[in-house]
Amino acid sequence: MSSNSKGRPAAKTAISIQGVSKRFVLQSNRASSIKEALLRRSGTQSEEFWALQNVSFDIPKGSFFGIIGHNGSGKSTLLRLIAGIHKPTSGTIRTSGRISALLELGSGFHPDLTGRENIYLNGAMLGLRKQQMAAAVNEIIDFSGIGSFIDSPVKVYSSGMHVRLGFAIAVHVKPEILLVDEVLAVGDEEFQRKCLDHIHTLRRQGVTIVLVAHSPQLMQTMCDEVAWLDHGELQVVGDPSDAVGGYIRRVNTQENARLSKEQAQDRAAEDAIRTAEAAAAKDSERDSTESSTSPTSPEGDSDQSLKDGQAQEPIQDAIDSDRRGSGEIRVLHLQYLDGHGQPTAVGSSGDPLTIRIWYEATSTIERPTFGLGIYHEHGLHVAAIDDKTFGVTQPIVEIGTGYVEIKIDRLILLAGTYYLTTGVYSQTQMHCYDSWHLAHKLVVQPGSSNQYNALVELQAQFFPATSAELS
Amino acid sequence: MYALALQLRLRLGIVETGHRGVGHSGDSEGIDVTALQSEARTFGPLILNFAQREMKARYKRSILGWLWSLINPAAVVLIYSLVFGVFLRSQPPATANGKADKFALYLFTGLIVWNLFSQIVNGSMDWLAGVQDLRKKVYFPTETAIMGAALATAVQTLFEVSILLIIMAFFGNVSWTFLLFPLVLIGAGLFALGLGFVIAILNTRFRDVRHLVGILMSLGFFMVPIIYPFSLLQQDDLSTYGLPAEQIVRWNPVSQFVGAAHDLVYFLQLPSPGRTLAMFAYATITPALGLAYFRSRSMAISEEL
Repeated sequence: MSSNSKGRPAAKTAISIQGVSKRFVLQSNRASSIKEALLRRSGTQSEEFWALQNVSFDIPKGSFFGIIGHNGSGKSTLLRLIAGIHKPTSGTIRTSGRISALLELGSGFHPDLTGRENIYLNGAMLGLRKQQMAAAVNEIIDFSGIGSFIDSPVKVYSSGMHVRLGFAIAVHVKPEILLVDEVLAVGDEEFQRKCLDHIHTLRRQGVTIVLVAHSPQLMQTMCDEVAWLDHGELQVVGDPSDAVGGYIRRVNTQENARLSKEQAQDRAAEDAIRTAEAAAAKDSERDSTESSTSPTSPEGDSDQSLKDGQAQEPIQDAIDSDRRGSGEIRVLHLQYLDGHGQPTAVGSSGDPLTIRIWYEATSTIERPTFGLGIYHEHGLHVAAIDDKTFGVTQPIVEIGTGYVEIKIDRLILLAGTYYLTTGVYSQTQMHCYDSWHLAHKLVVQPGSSNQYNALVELQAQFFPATSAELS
Repeated sequence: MYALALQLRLRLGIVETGHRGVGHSGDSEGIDVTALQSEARTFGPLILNFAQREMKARYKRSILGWLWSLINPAAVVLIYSLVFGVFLRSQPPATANGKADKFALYLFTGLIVWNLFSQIVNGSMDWLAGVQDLRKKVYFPTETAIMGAALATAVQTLFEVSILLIIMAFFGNVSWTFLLFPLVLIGAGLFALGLGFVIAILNTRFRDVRHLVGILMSLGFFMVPIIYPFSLLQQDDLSTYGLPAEQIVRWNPVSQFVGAAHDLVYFLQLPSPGRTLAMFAYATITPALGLAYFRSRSMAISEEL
């Protein structure tokens, strides 16, 4: 921090964005011939689209700055405005320093030119002299790892080669500002590692880096500051956890609403099938013991489950599920509740979750045992619990419906999709009333947990390095 | 990916303590992106790059390659000479030494200027269209693409010029006025470039422009004294159906450059002061206005389909 001895207080901002708005006119509505333009003079109403509206913020020099937002939030447009590709409809963008941009696959390549020629072209477009380029060319070729393809036209390159060459050029032309639009995700692991290493080096040299992505993980792990855009408007700018947190909450709310709606639809469809099947079963008077897949529940219970509004219904076509058991008591569905006891369609990492197992008993059951298994969508068995694990003994379950509740104070599952298995057994577990395998879906979203990269949250403490002799 | 990001954060964490605040020298504070064009960067290399590209693209995958730039005008000269000089018996005006009054040479002189003009005007539309995709992905001053390709066209013209001058010399029709011929070509090129800037922009907006320019070019060819001597229009018995043919041919800008070429290479005399002044004006004002118009519109081409 003490290295700023020369004292240049004014040089702190690399990019200053002041009241920037960007309007696009939808092309389908534009006149493309003179005739059209003349004929459409009167009463022309072209469709407009505001990609950005009155966005203002500063990007400090030397910072790693992230721009986050869902698809169509205007984040890529903003990056293009900074790169000078588009002109703002209103407002100003002031930048200081040479800008190098990696906006999309093979950006800035001419397909007919060879890789080597494109290196020179790109350098020239950035205003570099030929001597400056000559010095960088070999570095670029080495870094890209393209080898003998460098003298072939770029159009024969694979997409991976495009990105590798693009990245190699962008970072070797001595940029003062580097704009990156989520292209790092392409390329093999080794190259990604190389890219990140290099970005790290550039950052150490004081290069300002602006990264656009919709991955919260990437943002939080890499950025000093993050701006969150939604529908072209700036929501939050500043501390990454504030901006990313806000973004995640909005996405969660929206996904929750969407899943709830889908589930309601699924339920309706399920009920219709159930009603039809029940009617068919009644008609054919089949032997009920072998028809394990067709529910024996009376039609009345579909009304019951509809009343539960937010209830979670098994999505059977999502994954193979199978069901067995004698059926005196059966699980109807699962219901998820959040920390406030409100029904929710999804779980959040690091937040409380209550799972309610709704059942229906057709005869009185002497002290059944309820169990729950959690599987990751890739098939990994993550958890298995039953009431005995917690020293709970069930009472005598009377005929009718009811639920058992499993309260999880802190859901340590990380973001992903999980499938739940429910089981109802006799006290001795010798008899199976109802075992329903992988029948219930649980989507877990990023929540208040700050861990992302694996399956479960590890609750731990991390201590700094301590010098010590080997013992 | 995320694992890598995490890894990086760990490293950056170390960096943060030691390397923050390492400034960059040569800050150019407060450059408005919208005015990026005016930034004092060297775009000479970019223009040369586009020029190289145009040269390579022009005769790519052809066996004769560069020779085509000589064969083409030679063929045109041959055909026109046959049609106008032999069949229609067009009489070329007398050269300075009276020995080189071959219709083909008169034609070739004018044709060199006309070709340069029409190739730049027509080409500007293609050159801009050719970099439109590129411009959607990366910023660069778009006019450099047209300037570069025009430069390539001018260089190619030099081959034709040297052939012409060698033939003239062969017939003994030589003078120091040859030295001024390149200036006329540069002037004609700049004038064409100025028109090209405007036409290229209009063409991105209205595709009709290309067709319109095609028609105007074939009309223009006959409005310039290339296949006929200017004196032809001054004959009293020439019926022009009331059209001010002489005035049109005399005063149109391209005629000035073609006329000057005839003056310097064919008649071995200096162009009149009026003509010189007119050429100078066309060669400076047109590109200045054209470039100003181009720059005012070129930011929008990244949004055109």
